[in-house]
This record gives sequence, structure tokens and C-alpha cells, in this order.
Amino acid sequence: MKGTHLGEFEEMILLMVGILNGDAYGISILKEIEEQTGRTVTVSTIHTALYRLEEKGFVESYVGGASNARGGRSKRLYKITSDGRAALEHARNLRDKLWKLMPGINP
Amino acid sequence: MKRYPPKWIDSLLEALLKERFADEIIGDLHEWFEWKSESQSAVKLYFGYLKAVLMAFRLHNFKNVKTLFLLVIDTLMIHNNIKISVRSLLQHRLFTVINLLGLTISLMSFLFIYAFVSYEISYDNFHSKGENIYRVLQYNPESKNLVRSTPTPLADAFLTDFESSMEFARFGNDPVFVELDSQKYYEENFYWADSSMFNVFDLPFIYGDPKHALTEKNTVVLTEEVSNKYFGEGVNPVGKLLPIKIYDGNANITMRIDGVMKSLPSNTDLPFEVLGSISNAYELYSRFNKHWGFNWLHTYVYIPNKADVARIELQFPNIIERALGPEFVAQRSFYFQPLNKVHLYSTEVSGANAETSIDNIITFVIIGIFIILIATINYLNLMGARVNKRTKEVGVRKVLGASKKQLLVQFLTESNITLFLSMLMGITLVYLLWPVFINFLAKPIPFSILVTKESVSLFIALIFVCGTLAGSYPAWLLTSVSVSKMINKQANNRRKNNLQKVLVSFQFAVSVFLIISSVIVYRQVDFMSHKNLGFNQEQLLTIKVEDRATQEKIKLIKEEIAKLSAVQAVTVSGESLPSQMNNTGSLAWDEASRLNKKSIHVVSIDQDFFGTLEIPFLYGENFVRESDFGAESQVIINKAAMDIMGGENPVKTMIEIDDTRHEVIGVVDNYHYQSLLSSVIPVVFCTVPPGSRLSPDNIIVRLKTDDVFSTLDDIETIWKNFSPDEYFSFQFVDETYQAVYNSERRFLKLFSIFAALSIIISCMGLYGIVLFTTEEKSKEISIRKVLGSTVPQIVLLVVRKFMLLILIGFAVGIPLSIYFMNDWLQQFSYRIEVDFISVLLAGSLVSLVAAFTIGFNTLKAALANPIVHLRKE
Repeated sequence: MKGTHLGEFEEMILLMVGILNGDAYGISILKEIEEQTGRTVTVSTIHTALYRLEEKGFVESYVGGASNARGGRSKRLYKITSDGRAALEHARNLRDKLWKLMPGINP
Repeated sequence: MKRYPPKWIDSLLEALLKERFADEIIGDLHEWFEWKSESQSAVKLYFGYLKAVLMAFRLHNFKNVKTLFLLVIDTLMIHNNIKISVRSLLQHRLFTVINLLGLTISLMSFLFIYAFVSYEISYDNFHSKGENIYRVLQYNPESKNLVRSTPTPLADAFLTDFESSMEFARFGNDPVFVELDSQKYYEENFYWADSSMFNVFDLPFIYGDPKHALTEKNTVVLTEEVSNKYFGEGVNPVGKLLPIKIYDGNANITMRIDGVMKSLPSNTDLPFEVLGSISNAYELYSRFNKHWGFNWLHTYVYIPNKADVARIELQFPNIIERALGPEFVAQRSFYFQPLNKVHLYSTEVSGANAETSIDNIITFVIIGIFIILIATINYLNLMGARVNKRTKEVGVRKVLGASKKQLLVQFLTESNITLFLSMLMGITLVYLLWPVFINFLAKPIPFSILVTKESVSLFIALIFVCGTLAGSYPAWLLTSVSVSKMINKQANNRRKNNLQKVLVSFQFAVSVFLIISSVIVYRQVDFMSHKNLGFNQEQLLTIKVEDRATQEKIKLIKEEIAKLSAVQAVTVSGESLPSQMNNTGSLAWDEASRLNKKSIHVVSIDQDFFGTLEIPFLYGENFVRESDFGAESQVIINKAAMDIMGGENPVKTMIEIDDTRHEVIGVVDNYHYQSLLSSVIPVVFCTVPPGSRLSPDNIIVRLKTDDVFSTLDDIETIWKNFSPDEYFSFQFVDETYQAVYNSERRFLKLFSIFAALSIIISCMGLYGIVLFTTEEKSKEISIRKVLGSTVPQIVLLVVRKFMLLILIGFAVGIPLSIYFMNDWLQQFSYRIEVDFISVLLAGSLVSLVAAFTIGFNTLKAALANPIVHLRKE
């Protein structure tokens, strides 16, 4: 599984991309993170994470529309791939498995 | 108000980032900006934006190097600019030559100055503990005198209190003869030294172990150079025995070689070539081990903890009180001089050969900057003068769509190319003249000092800064004129060029300043070399008698020499000329002075001393018989001593020297026993028989012949009769006195060379400007001529304008030079005054050169046939 490991931040971004379902790009993810987790992050951190995810094949991107607020520049929208979904599920399964192994916690 | 993200950041990002990322990142950043601009304060907003931008710079986002490089070339239009620059440089050949020459000369001067200065400040910077090493100087709080030599018990006095926080490294000079395989070597730089030497200083060993070197008696350490001289290269001499003859100690000792250290680099003030264990010196000179009056050691101390220094300094009075007694606290103290100040900050320290002072360094740095400035001003002025010719070119380019930025880049390219070419030529010249340069300074400065990383980056920065400065002025002049004016023939777009006038005045102020200064430096050096020293130094020679056994016979040798027909007079003395004044005692003459003793030099002589040197008596008379320097013995004092005692005739009174009473039988006039750099202080003359440290060890001979060589041969024959093994060495007194001023002379030469260069460069610039003016005015001049103006009238018309500028330069430069030269002269005990004649001389020299420069061109224009210029259209 080398090279496909999901970092904590990457996992969160990947989840956000999934949640936003086709409308995921830098700023929308940023807003979603702030809304859901209260964390403030810079746009560039998100970009970097997205590029890494794209390299690993967990997301794919395509050029979207432009808007005035963007100074007439086009968006790049991100969509989760089946590999990405599998990676997320794998991460969740691993975590569930580990949770179950922790004593004092009832399933 | 609606806020927008800064545009330049967009263009920067766009230029640097790969296309794949640029739109996305910029767009997202903008959206973030807009989103946040409602909720956040401006500062926070921009700060956050900037932070996000900075974080966006990741290596994988960037375009590759080649693309970026092409982009730079594209933006600056370098190719096109270079082409146009070269064309323009070639088109105005004369001005290009003037510019290039001026800049080349100035950059060459700058490089030389840079090399000199960086070499001087690099002295002893290679010791890894250098930060924490200090030289211990003796300081007299009363007279403010600093003395380099220190007495033997000094270190121990400190160590009783501060053993754990200081480590001393001391060395004392003692010339010796080394005899090896019947070869004799005179080692002038033999030093007795502490074994801690190798721990305090960085003196790497080639053979042997620095930890154990010099720890035992009868051991020596050689430098590589000396070892090679004795044993040949590549031989490990550790453990071998060296027979050494020590003059002062009158001893022959066989010493074991403990190690060979690398020869010291040339940029050091540590003088040694052979080091001997200091325990030998303690044994040889045991009388001085506890003696505070005999100063001979150089003392360096390593104090690892900076905080200790202040703590120890506070204890100086206590140390003096314990070691010498409470009455000395007011007169004696110490000073810890940091190692990195030893070379340049020692002009005040007596006994130190401070050939370069920090003042000299600063002077040369300032001159270097001035020379660069003058040349840059030349460039700027000539470009400014050319502006009128180039307006059309710029106008057309503007019409065709060139932006201001592009025009600016064009001019900057041109000026940077000129400077770069000059730098290349300057470096080539420096390289070619390097042997002359180091020969002149008499210092083996390596050329590599110019090619270190720091130097090269400094030079590049210098080219860039000067190039940009010089190029932006004409660019500004040209770009600020409207296009229609530029290409409209009728419009009179000649503009007043006030900056140019100011700069010409400035150039001449600097030149006048430098020329006047060098005239005054010249006169001071001349004054010192010709001033009457108080004795007749013609045909006087001194012979040093190092060997104790020969010293015993010094009187006999003297008598033999006196018999020679070519010898007018001969005497013996404990001091050579100029004198070291190694023996200094304390002087008291009454109750009051006993509490506040003055220092006085003690010199042993014989009856013939004053007669030979032709020093007049003021009071009393010469010695009639010779005695030892014991209690109640007779002495002669100099005028300085008499003055300090109140100035009355002291003959037949008693004085105390080092608590021993002596009778004054005579007073002689002051003579300059050292150079004119130091003032004359009290001296007492006595007679001392051979066998002590004070005893005469110099023969001073006055010749009365033109055939010096055969007389010298005769003297040498006599010398060999008495001591066949000893080396005969003599010096002419007038020559050695002159040699003292060598560093002043060198300063003068360097200074005047740079002053001359500055005036040459200034005049080249002036020549160019005048040429332009006459060319521009050629039509006016022609019309005036046609209408009946005479040649003098026309010449006056042009000259007047420039002469005014030069006069303003004078008005600034003259007072400045008078002020600074008065300041400079203060360092000399015997000095000239800044006088009207020097200023006038220097001033008229500059005016003459300037007048010639202006007049030549103007006259040419005034004499030209008017038809030539009037027909041209």
C-alpha cells in the first residue's frame, strides 16, 4: 500500500471532496472545513493536499467555470475517484477494527 | 471601499507558476480575498493573502528553469537592448572612450584599494580563539602612554587571582646565532616563549606535538621555513640538537628541537621564526624575573569567558598595589587590547610598528568611494549631455509603442554594459599591475584576495548599483518629455541641467580636496625628513656590538677606529641612532617629585658622545672621567629633563634615578633620539663600564671622507682583529632615520596617485561636457562670429559658465581640506601648519588643468570657420 497512504489532513480533504460532490474546489473545500471542523487553513495548504491526492489517483480534476469574484479565472473542480473511495473505506475499516480492539469499549 | 488584491502579485504568480496551476491558484486566492474582505480588517486581510501567496510557491508548481530564463530575456528584451546599446556606444565613440577610460581607471583604483584594505583587516584573523585573545599593554593613567613591552612578573601577578580564567602566552625577542655544520645563521626573530603559545594561537605543527613542545628547558620550535633552511625540505628534525649562542645572556646552549610549525601567513603581527622555551630566559636573566622595571615581553592572554574581562579590569589597581606598592597605582595600569585591534589600532602604542592605522584604512576607503563616484558622475553627465541628441531616437521608439519601462531597461542595459566592460578592463589592468602594486606596498598580498566569494559578489553589486544609478538619470530625462516635443524639430526642448552643474562642482570639490591634502601630506613628510634633529647626522654610522665578549673590548676597538685618518670622531653608546630607549627609570629631584616620579630614559655614553654627534651643551660641562652608574655618580641630562624639573640651571644639584642619588654636571640641548613621530622626553646620560645591561653596545663613527668604502673596509679589519667570529654590521644614521618615515611616504605616494587619478578622471568628464556644449552651440558661435564677435569674447562666453562651477567646487573643497588636514597633522609631535601657499599651489594646479581642458575645446570651436557649422542642416 506504499504511496497510497492517507494522511489525516488528506483524509479530511478527500472526505470534503466527497461531501461537496462535484462542486469541490479550493475555496469551497476551505469553507466546508471551517464550517464542519472549525479549523482555519490557508488556500495553498488545500491546493497542495489536492495535488498530492491527484498524484495518488484519489481525485480527478477538470476545468470548471469562471466567476467575477475570481477575477475572471476559471475554477478547477475535483471529483473523488473509485480508488479514492476505496482508500477512504480502507481507512475507516482500519480505524473501526482498531477501535474494536480497544478494551472497555462496547461495540 | 472595495478592496482588491494587489495586481503585481497576480503577474508574479502568473509568470512563475506552471499554467496548469496558475489560474486555479490565482482564482482561488481572489475568491478567498473577496470572501474574507467583508469580515477581516485590511491588515489581517493583506497579511493573510500574502501568507497564502508565499505558501503557494512550491517547487512543483514552478515553471522549469529554461522557461523562466526565456521569460526574463523576453521581458527585458535583452537581446534587442544589447544590440541597440552596442550600436549607441559605437555611434558616440569619443564619449564611449571617455566613459570607459574613466570608469576603468576608477574601478582599477577601487580594486587596488579594496585589496589593500581587505588585506590589512585580515591580520591575525585566522586564530580560532581570536575573539577571546587580548594583548596586554601597560598603561600609564597619568601620561596616557600605552607600552607594548611588559615585565616578566606581570603574568604571575594576574594569575594569583585569576588562574582559572586566563591563559597567558608570552614571548620575548633575543637575537641569537645558530651554528650548524659549521654554517652560521643569525636569527633575528628568535623569541623565548611560553609553551601555552600553541594552545592560545593557531600554530599548526608539521612535526612534533604542540601539547608537549617547549614544556622543558633547552627546547626550541622552528617554523617550516627555518627548518628547511637548516635541514633541507621534507626532513623531520624533531629530537635533533641545535647549538645556539645567545648574545644578551652571553651563553651557549644546545637545544633540542621539539617541533616544526607551519610558517605563519604574511598577514600576521606575530613575528617569530624560532621559539625557545621561556624557562631558559628565566635562568639567563634571573635578575629580571621579579623586576617590574624591565619591559621586554609581549604578553597575550586568552580569556575564554567575555564576562571575566570586565571583572579582571576592575582589579587592575589591586594587582598594581600588591605587586608594586600603593604609590604606583596612579602611574601604572594595564589595557587589554583585543587581538583583532592589534594591527590597526596601535598607533598610540609605543614600541609597536603600527605601519597602517585604521585612519589610513578609512581614508583609503573614502578615496575609493570618491573615485568611483567621480567616474559614475562622468558617465551620468556625459549621458545627460547627450540627451538632446537622443531625444529623437527615444521619441520614435515611443511612437512605435515602447513603454517607459522598456526605455528604462534599455538605458540601464547600456550603462550596465559600459560598467561591466570597464570592470573587465579594470580587473585585467589590476592583474597586470599586481607585481608593481605588491612591490610598492612591500606586502605579499595574494591576488586571490580579489576572487573570494564576498569580493566577487561585492564587485557585481557595485557594477549593478553604479550602472543603475548612472543609467536611470538619462532615462528619466528622456522618458519624461512628451513625444510630440521630442520629434518636433521646432520645439526647443533644451532643458536646464541643474543636476549636471551640481555634479561637476562636486567632482571638482573632491579633486581640489584630494590635491590640497596630498600637497600638505607631502610638505609634512618633507618637513620631517629635513628637520634639524638636534645633532649632525651627516656621514654618521653606527655599528652594533651584539656579542658580550666583544662589548668588553669596545673601548679598544673605539680607540683603534679613532686612529684612522678618515674618521673624524668616534664614540660608544648604549643606544643606537635612532634609539630604542630600552632602559627607563624613574626621576625625582625634590620631596614633592618623590611622590610623583617622572619616567626618564637612561643612556650610557662616553666623553666623546656629544662631541661626535655635535650636540651643544646648555649648562655645565662634559664628563671628565668615567665612573659606574653608582650612588653619587655624575650624570648629564637633556633639556627636556631640565624643563620638567622647573627649567632652572640644575648643574651641581642632585637628582634621584630609581632611588639612587646622582649629581648633575651638565645639560645638553634636546636631540631627536627617535624619529620626529615621537616627542623628546627626559633622558639622563651616564657612563657605565662594560658588563651590565646598560653598558655601551654601539660604536658611533663620524667619517670625514668621500671614500666611504675603503674606510668601511678599514673599520671591518679592525673589527675582525678583535672578534674574528662576529658579524660586522653597520648602518648610516641618516638612512635609518629616513626609513622611519617609510609608512608616511607610502601613504603619501598612494594618496597622491589617487588624487592625480581623481583629477584626471574629472577632467575627462569636463572635456566631454565642454565638447558637447561647443558642439551644441556651434551654430550660435558661428552666427556670433559672423556678426563680429571676437575669438576672446566667444571663448569667454563658454568658459564663464564652467569656471563658475569649478569655483564653487573650490569654495567647498578648500575649507574641507583645511579642516581635515589640520586634523590629520595633529598626530605628529612636530608638524607644519596648513598654509596659504600650499592651498594656493594646489588650487592653481587644479585650475590650470581645468582651464586647459575647457580652453582647448572652446578655442577650437571659436577658431572654426563659421561656414562649416552654418551650412550644416
